Amino acid sequence: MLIYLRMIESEEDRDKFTQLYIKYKNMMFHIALDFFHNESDAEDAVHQAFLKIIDSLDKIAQIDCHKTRSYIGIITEHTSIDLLRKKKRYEEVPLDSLNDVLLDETSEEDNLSNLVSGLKPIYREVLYLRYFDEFEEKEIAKILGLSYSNVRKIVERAKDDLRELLMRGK
Amino acid sequence: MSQIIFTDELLKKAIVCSHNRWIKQYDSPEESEEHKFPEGFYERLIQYMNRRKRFKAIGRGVAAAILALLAAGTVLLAASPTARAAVFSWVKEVFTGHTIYHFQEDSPLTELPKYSLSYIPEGFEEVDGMYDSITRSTFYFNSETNDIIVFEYKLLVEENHVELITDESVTQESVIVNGIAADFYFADESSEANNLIWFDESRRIAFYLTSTLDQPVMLHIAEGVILEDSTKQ
Repeated sequence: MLIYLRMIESEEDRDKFTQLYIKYKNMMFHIALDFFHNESDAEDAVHQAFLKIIDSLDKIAQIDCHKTRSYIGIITEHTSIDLLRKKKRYEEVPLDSLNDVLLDETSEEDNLSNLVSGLKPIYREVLYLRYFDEFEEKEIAKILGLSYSNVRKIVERAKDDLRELLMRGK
Repeated sequence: MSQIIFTDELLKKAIVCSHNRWIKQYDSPEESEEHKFPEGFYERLIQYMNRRKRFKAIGRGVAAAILALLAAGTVLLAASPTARAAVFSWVKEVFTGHTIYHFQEDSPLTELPKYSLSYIPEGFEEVDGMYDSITRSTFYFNSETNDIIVFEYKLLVEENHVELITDESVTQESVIVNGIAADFYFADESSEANNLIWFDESRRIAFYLTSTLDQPVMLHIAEGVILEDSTKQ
């Protein structure tokens, strides 16, 4: 068994965080603002999102790349929804209301992509981290502040929802 | 009814396509207007970073076993910032598919005290753990029986809450842990892990125990939670 102690607040990590802060704070603010429509709450969401980013700093290899930008976008969206839900008892979109996400005559991939866009945000976020970033469930749990079992179940539920939506469109 | 099948590869492409459409909207010039954050915003983040410590103990193969067992969990614990409640004691709100526990007020503490388990059944060893400024998790594993114990606790500050995502089939029972009301969630057919949640009301700390062990053993473990250095709190 390997046991080690690690301090995260190295100079290198601080530099990395500062670069991320400069590069993405504005994008994060606008993502959060889309949820709250007021600057103060949006700033709170960005603050909380940055705390999560600090907690998962080792997951970020490059500062300026699409992958990092997407990853930070997802964390900001997830944090904003989390805060909003508690402030307003925000109700996530139930599956039944997704009927307007219609299947069109385009490719299967496009159809599936449209349906993914209509999934609950938490489902989309977990699916993206799992299938694009290829994080393990344990890593996703830590990034999003969920339990391992929660993440695993969300992946299965998201797939079930997609199958159901596809069935409706057939 | 025919079964809808999509491959992981197709799903991945669809997810990326969907995500790219979403993130692209933040590329537009009007969205990139510079926002001026409040004074001290960045500095507070750096302070948090400086306070943060973490440890991790890795056991070969054991983490995978823990994950495999937890993956089937019925009660899904999540914790995230936000929430205000109604009374001094903890409040439980049950919604379809999830239950939220929270307090009226923040914890009076600014740092998470350290708790430990005075009783752990024979055969278990600590195999993994992680902590940050408000949460600590410790994982125990019995390699002979493949049983697990996950002990977690969280300081409910700055509007934190604890959320349990529950399947419809979950069975919950009210129990007592050292004279304190607690909730026990039984594993069901899709799960191998029971969950127990209780609170230290004066410190506003949520405790949760996830284990493949039986209810009496889990209650015994919970009753053995001790504050390691009581002089500090």
